[in-house]
Amino acid sequence: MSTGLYNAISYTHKGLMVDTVFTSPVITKNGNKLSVIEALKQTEFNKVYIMLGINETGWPYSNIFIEKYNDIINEIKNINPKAIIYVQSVLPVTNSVSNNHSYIKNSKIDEFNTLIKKMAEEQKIYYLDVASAVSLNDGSLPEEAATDGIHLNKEYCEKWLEYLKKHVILDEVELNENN
Amino acid sequence: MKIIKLIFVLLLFTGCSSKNINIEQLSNELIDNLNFEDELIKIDDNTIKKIYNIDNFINSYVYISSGATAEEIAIFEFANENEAKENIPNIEERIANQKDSFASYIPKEVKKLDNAIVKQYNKYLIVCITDDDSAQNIIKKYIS
Repeated sequence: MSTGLYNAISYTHKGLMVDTVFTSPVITKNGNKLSVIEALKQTEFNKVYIMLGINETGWPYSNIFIEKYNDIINEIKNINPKAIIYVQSVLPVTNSVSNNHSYIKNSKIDEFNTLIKKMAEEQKIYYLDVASAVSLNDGSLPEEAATDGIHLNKEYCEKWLEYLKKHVILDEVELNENN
Repeated sequence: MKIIKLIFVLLLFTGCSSKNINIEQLSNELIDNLNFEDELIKIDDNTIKKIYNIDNFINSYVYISSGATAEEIAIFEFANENEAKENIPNIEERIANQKDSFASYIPKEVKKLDNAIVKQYNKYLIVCITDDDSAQNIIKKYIS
């Protein structure tokens, strides 16, 4: 939001997770409260960008995380088989957070990203390593990127957006426009 | 005669200033003087319309948090007092949605939302979400 990206529909919610995407009525659409998946069913879209995972780093079983993530991809394919689906890597946190937080650790984030990348290959969808756009050589988020070490400030949101703009698959409409 | 003219001009000027607020100046004063935990980010009109569901303002200054806190400043100018009043429910809905979000995410932020300052003054709506008590005094200077 802080980058002024408004030509996209965003279904976001604080604390959203791979399971609550199906169950929590957190999206207001036409005056109704819907889950993200229900909202998506009522939305025309050609491309979808997904980022989930940071809130699930406290889950004890990573296989459950990726199973539920797969369910989301399968459901989106059901809703729109032609949609281009991007899954983004989970963004890293600062070393201060990673060393001190009770469950948000960069090691767990790395593990999730490996699973997400593998899922993308199996599902034949696109994996975007957005973490690389904002991280230091050790894979952590720079301390200056976020006041709480987790949520990016404007400067770093713009780095993230630039990465997305540079890694685009054109859909049929865009290909026709370019030809 | 010159003195009477000067007094009249001064009265006229004072009369105007009691109705109109320099909302840019007010937003800057809040940003510069309040002790915010997060670095608030100014958002553009399209984003404001999305998050506040308000599209009839004629001028606005809105600053939101990165997501780390519930802190926020939103100042709107409308065409008239009625339009400002009509948009109060949209402000209340934004605050309710934020409370709902933060309750399970960062519960300590809910207190700031419970104590949110929401003021309607003539054609203006002023929202300030902070735990810094000096916000009230800064806003008071502009609306009294």
